[in-house]
Amino acid sequence: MQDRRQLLSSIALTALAAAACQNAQQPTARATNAPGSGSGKASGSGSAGKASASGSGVQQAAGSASASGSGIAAGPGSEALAPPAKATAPLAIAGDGKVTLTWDETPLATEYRVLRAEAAGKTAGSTPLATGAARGYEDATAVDGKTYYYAIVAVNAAGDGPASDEVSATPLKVLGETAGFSVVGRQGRLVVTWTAAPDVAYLIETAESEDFAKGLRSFPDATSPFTVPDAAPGTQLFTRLKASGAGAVPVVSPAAAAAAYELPGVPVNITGQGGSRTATFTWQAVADATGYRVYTHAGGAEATAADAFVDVPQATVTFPNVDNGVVLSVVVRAMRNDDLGPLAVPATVTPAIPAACTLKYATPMALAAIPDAAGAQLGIAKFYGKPASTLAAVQLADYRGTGAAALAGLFLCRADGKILAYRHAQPGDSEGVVLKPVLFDNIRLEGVDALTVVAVLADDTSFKQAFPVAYATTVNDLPVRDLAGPAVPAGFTGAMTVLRLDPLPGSFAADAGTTIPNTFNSGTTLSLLTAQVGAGWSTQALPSGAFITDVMGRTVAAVNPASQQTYCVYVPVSNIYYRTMQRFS
Amino acid sequence: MPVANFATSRRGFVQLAAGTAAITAAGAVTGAALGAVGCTNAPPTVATTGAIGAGALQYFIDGIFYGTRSDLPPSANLAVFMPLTQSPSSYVERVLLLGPGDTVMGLRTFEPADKMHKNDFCPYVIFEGLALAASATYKVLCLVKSGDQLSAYQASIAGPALSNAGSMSCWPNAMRTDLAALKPFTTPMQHYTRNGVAVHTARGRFLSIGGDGSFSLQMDFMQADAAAAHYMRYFAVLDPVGRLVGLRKRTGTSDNTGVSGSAITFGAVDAGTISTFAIDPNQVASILDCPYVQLIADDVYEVLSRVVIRLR
Repeated sequence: MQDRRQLLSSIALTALAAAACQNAQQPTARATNAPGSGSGKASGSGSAGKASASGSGVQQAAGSASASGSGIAAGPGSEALAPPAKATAPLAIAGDGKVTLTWDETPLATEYRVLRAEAAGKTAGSTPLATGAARGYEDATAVDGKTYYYAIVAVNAAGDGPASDEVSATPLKVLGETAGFSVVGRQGRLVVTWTAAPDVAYLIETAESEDFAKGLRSFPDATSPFTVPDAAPGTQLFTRLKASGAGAVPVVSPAAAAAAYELPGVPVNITGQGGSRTATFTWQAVADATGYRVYTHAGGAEATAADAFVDVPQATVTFPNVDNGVVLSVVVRAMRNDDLGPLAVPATVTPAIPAACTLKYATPMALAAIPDAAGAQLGIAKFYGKPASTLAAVQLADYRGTGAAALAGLFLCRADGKILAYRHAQPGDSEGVVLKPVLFDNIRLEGVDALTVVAVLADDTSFKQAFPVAYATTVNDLPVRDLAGPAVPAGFTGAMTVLRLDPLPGSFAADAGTTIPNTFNSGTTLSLLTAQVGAGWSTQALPSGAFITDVMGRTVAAVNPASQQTYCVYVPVSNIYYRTMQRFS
Repeated sequence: MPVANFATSRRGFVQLAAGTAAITAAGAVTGAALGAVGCTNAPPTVATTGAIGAGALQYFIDGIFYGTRSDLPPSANLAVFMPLTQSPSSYVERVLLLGPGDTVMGLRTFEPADKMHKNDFCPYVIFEGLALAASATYKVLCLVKSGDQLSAYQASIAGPALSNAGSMSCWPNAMRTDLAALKPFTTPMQHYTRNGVAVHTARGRFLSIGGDGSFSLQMDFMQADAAAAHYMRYFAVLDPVGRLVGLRKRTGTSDNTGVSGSAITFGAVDAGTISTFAIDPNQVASILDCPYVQLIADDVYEVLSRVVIRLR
C-alpha cells in the first residue's frame, strides 16, 4: 500500500511539476506575441505566469489563459478566429474515490470540457463533467474499483476543438495499514493482534521459514485477536498479515517471529506463616512464571480453583485482616501470561494472636514494607533521646489507614516488653499520610539500651479485640546524641536561647484594650524565626549556619506550630552551636 | 468497682479525695479488669494490686486549643502533677488519661525508680497533641501499686480550657492578684496586636543549671520602662503545671537589682523568696524535674507573655 501511495504521489508531483515548468514558459512565449496584438491588455497577462506556476492551482491558471486569449482576440485587425487544436497530454491519476486529471494548454483555447465514460471510446458525445478555463480537474464522483475513461476538449468562441486521446483511471480504496500487528507466543499457540480497518478482510499466514516457503499455513477471514493453533512449543514461527478488500490495494505486513511455550510448572515447597489476623504464604519460584494465582478458602475446606483468587507477581502473598482462629487454605498455580499452570498442593495457615505478645518484630527501623489491612503501610519509627535523658519522640511515616484499619495507638516499650507509655490515636494526629511526631516525656532511659515502638491497628480503634494487628520495631544501641538529624559540630553545647516567631500573623480579632486576643488561624503563616545570639538581645534573622529541626531531628525550612509544636534551633556562635528546643504554643 | 474521685477545688486544683478503694486481683490485672473501672479500651496487663493514701493533682493545659477563636483543630497539651511519693513499697504504677466514654487517650507507666529529684514524687505526666473538646469531661486515672494491691484514683477535668493567670492557684496570692488582670498568656502563637509581639514576648536564656537545682537565668526586658505603671515587672520560671521554679519581681521602675543593661538575672526560688511572697513550699518545683519550663514576664500594663523551653 505504501508503495502504491508513493507511486501515485510521485506521478502527481511529476505531472504538476511538468505543468508548472510549462506554465512558467508560457508568459515568455506570449510576450512574444503581445506586440503583434497591439493591446495594452497584454500586460495583464503577466499574472498568468504567477498563477500557473502555483502548480496545483488549477483554477488560478484560468486567469492567465483568459488574459492571454483576450489579449490576442481583442486586437484590431486580427485574423479570423479558428477553433483550438486537439487537447494534448491528458493525464488521469487515480486516487481513493477520485480521479485527478491534468492536460497541457492548447493554444487559442479559452475553456476545456471534461468528458467521461465508463467504457472505452464512449466519451464522444457524452455530457461534459465540467467546463472551465482550468487545465485540470478532479473527478470526485469516481467510485473505487471502477474504471473511467476521460477525454478533454479545448474550446473557444469559434467552436470546439477535437477531443483529446482518451485516458483511463481506476480509483482504488486505500486500505488502513496493518497497524498494531504483533505476534506473541503462548502455551501451544500464537496470538496475533492488529488494529482492524472496516471493510477489510484479513488473512494470516504462518510458516517455519521467513520466506514463507516452509510449512505455510493460511487462516483467512481472521479477526483480531487471532489464535494460531497447534504451535509447537519452542519452535519459532513466522507470521504475516494480509489485508485486502474490494476495490482496494492489498497490503502485507512484515513478518514477525514468535514461538509458543509450555505451561509453567507446579509451585512447590509452599509454607505458611500465621500472625495476628495475617497469613503469609511463600513457595519456590517457578521458572518462566510471570505471576501466580492464589485461590483461598477460609473455614476448613481446602481451596480449589473454584474459589476466589488473587494474582501476585512474586512467590509470596500476605493476606491481612483475616480472622484469627479460622483456617485459611490456599492453592497456588503459576502463571505465564494468561496461561495457568497446574495446581499445587494446598497449604493452610491459622492466624492467631501470639501467645506471649501480640507483636511481631520487624527489622529495626524498617517497618515500611509491612502492609496493614487497608493496604496502608506503617513507616519508620525513630527516637529522640539519650541515656539519662527523658524525651522520646516517635513517628510513623507513611502512615495510612482509615476506619477499621486505622491506627489505634502507639506504644513505647522497653525491649523486655514493659510498656512505658501509650498514646491513643486522635483526630488530627495524621498530617497527610504521616503521623505527627508523638512525644513521650520523662522516659527514664538509664540502663535502657533498646526501645520498642509498637503501632497497633484496631478493628474499631479500641482494644476490645485485643491488638488485632500490631507492628513493632526495636532500636538497639540508643543513640547517645541529642539529635538524630544533621551532624552537630564539635563544640556543641546545650546552652539555651529563647526564640520568638516573626513575622506576626496578619489577622486577629481586634484588640480590646487589656484583653489580649489570641485568635490564630491556619491560614496564618509563621515562617521566620529570630533568635537571640551573642551578648545583647537584638532581634535578628537566623545567622548563616543556623538550622532548625523538628523533634525528630529533621531539618525544616520553617516553623509551623499548627503542624508540630516543638522545634529545635541551632545557632552557631563562635564555633559553638547554641540550641533552643522550644514549644511554640 | 469503687473508684475514688477527685474534686475540683475553688483554687483550680483538682484535689484527690481521701477515700480509696482497693482493686482486688489475685494476679495480673488485665485490660478487662481496667475496663471494669471505666476504661473501654484499656491496654492489657497491669500486674498490681494495692492502695495508697490521698494526694493532690494539678494540671496545666496549653497548646493549640482556641475553640471558636481559631479554625485550627485542637492539639492541646496536658501536664499533670501528682504529689505522690514513689517508693518500692508504694508507687504510681500507671496513669491513664480517659476521654469521653472512658476511652484511654494516653498512658504512662512508672516504676519505683521513676521519681522526681524533689520529694521523690511521681514525675510529671504530659500528654501532647490532644484533641480536647471544651465541653467534654476528661479523667485522669491513677493506679497505685502497694505491695500486691492496686488502688485506682480518679480526677475529673470538666470543660478544659487553656490555663491562664487566673487559674494559677499555685501562685502566691499577691502574684495572682497582680497578674490575673493580664490573663491569658501571650505565647508565640497568642499574639498581642496593638503593640506587637516584638515587645511582648518573654525572652531569656539559661546561663547555668546546677546539679542541685540551682540555675541562673537571664531574661531580657521586652521594652524599656515606659511609665510607673508600664514596665517589666514579674519574671518567673514555671514548671509544666505552673508551679514556681524561679521568681523575680521588680517593685517599680527604680528596682534594678539584678538588672544589667536591658536584662535581669535571677535564679531558683529560695527561702527568702518563699517568705517574701508567702509561697506555699509545696508549690515550688525543681528545675531538675522539669522536662521543660515556662518563662513568663509581664509589663504591668497589658501583657503577660510566656514561652516554653525544653530542657531535654
